Amino acid sequence: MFNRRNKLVFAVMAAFALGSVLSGCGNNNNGAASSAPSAATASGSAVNAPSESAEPVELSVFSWMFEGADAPDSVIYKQLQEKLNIRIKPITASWNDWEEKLNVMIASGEMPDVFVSYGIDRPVQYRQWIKEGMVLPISDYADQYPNIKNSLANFEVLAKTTGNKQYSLPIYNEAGSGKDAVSGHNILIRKDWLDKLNLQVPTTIDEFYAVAKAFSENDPDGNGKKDTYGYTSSSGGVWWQYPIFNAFDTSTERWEKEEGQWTPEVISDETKDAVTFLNGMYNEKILDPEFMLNTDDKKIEKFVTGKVGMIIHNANATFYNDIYNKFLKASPDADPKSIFTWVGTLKGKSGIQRMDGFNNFWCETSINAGISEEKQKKALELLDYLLSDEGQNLMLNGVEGVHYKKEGDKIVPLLSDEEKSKDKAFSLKALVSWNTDYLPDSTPNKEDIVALSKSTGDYAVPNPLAYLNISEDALDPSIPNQLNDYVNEEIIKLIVESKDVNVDFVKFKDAWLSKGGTKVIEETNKEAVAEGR
Amino acid sequence: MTKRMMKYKMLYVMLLPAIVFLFVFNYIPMYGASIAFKDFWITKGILGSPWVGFDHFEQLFKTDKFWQVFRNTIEINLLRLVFGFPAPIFLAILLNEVRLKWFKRSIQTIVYLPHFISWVTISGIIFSLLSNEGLVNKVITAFGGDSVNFLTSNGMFRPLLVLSGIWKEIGWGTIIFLAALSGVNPDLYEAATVDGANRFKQIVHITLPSLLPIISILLILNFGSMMTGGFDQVFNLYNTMVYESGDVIDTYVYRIGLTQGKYSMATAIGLFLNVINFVLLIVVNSASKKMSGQGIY
Repeated sequence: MFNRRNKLVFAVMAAFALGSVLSGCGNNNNGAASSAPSAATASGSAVNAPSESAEPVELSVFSWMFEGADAPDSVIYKQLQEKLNIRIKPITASWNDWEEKLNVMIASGEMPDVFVSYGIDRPVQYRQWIKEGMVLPISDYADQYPNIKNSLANFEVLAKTTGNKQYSLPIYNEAGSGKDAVSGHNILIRKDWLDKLNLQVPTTIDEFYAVAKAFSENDPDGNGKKDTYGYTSSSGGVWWQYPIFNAFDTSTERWEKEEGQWTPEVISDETKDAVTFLNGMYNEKILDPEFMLNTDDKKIEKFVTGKVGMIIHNANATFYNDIYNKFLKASPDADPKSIFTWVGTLKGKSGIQRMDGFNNFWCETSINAGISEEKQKKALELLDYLLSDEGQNLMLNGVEGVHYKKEGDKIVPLLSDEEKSKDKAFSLKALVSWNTDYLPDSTPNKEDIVALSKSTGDYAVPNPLAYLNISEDALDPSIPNQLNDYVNEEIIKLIVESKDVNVDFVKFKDAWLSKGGTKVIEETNKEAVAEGR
Repeated sequence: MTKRMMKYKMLYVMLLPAIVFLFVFNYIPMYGASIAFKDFWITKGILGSPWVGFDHFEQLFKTDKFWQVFRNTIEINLLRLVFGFPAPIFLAILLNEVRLKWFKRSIQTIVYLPHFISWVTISGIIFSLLSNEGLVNKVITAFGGDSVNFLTSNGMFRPLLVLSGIWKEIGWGTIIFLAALSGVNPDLYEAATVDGANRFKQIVHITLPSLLPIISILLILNFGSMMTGGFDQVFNLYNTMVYESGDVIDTYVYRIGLTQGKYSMATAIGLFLNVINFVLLIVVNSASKKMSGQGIY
């Protein structure tokens, strides 16, 4: 179920790749790299000044977006080369098959020197690499590389799951926020419909229901037909509804601690309430009857064309502006901001606002343990430099005098975003960070997007048992997988077909327990105690 | 090297590249199938990884839903065989009876075009036709009926699979039968006409018997993909509501874990299915040989 999240970050990153010049507001810009190549200034990073005699060290670097990162005419790449005395050989693949390509490379013994992968989010293969000693335990070297050390310190929980060592560098989303969890999703709503029916943006789950009901029954589009729905979902129907479950202070995939015991939220009474709620909405035809059939694109289409009034989706700069432009295209004379807005985090039944967030990183960068020590050292230096203030500045703003000029403390871009994005070496930043919280001033609707992101991001809570490392011998990893599959299937059926959720939910709960759930609970508690969660 | 082989040595030389190709690309990689019985370590390689016997298979058979999807796979493929297999034969015979050359040609072209459209595209077309807002339901409601949930009901899903499969492949399937029919000696039809056989009688006594060899060969080959095939179609058409009737081995295994790089498991499943396919092929082939003397070898 990670792909939704990936899409979100991918979009952020695509936006970056499309050349949003990230002006480092609030980013410390000390030690801007000088444009004179001979005068390499020492910054806080552990980089040795290049000696003229040493041959540059070649590193193969893999990610899906490094196409052309080593272009001979790239100013950024030249800077990196001179700074670190390395030559980068990018290996790249398309977004659709990069994982497969990476797996094939690794399986055939051609692991790249430095590579981006889903890391711990693909636990089976990641742990296999560790077990076989194929990836470098980066945390063992952290003391020599202060910037790597600082970055790893944010993700100590990950080390717990891999024998207290970090075998890769998590690529962080929001640098300075210090957050454990980020959101990037939101409930989007048709503002024009609200206005027509004299309603306010819902703030509680009860208001959400009332608005959705009005949207489906009071003809918000004014065409005299009852052909609208209050709300819809997509991609299987369950996953995207997590904010609704959150409003009942529950979820279909997390665990909660009750009386010292970890219990799965999916079989809790709160989940039953949430399912009852959705089942009611389905029966009243407030919930789109085809919510489980929609692709993500179809969901957005239904929202834009006025078939449904509310959707839950990615809502960051890229997605917001994408939907904004779709509305603009649909009705060129109207201001999209008068047509749609966002709901944020609903107050739940118990009055709390909960939004299950995601880790503040996406993908990880690993270093091949089988390369020469010299190469390992260079790979670590590269990551450390990219994480340093100077490296971040180079990657976000470019080279002074070429990409920007300084006026006092302000950074003024010299090139348009489009011009700047021609230098593909900027993509190398993705080895260490996405910087999703930096929106350049040139971003359209920037203020709205900041507010939109805050409306869910501020409530994002991390998963308390993220990456709990239950050994394969104790619990066959395919059991949780099968249970997830079962949950996705059954929850939909309860919503759509159940005549009495109270009765059917008990059956669901019993089946979940008998299909291996009991064992999962037992092993989860054992491991949680062992890891001190 | 018998005398006969010497006599036709040039033919054998021509066969050589094909044999080498098969050996290099189909037989040598087969040793990789051994990882189905191993705990595969990337660094140790295929040969160096430790044996684990039937662990992966046991795990597979223990999987909760495995037997349900196993049964679905067989049932769906049987339906495809009963309805989907005769369809192109039927169409080929009908087309064969058409006298107008241009009409026959254009029909042929039109019906085999869908073969080139991917399931991704077709599923999009099907969804927009059959959804609640779709054309079909608009017609039904216009006549005062209730709209039907074509896409989310277990009763509808298998007919949908079979029919959409027929629609896509029927034209492509007729090509081979029409080719076989073009080789039938016209004298036979003339003689039958002289003997007073009408068109229908001619079909029964001449056209069908001429098609029998090719029909039995294709039927046997079809049994060789009994346990597999159809991933694209099912994957693009199904949804959570119809897992019960439409989830097949390919899609289930894909969902619960092949995306995680479980090489050994993936191999074990592939091997298991192909062993069944292989056995079916052998059995059906020998049965066919007993009954009609026709077989693929």
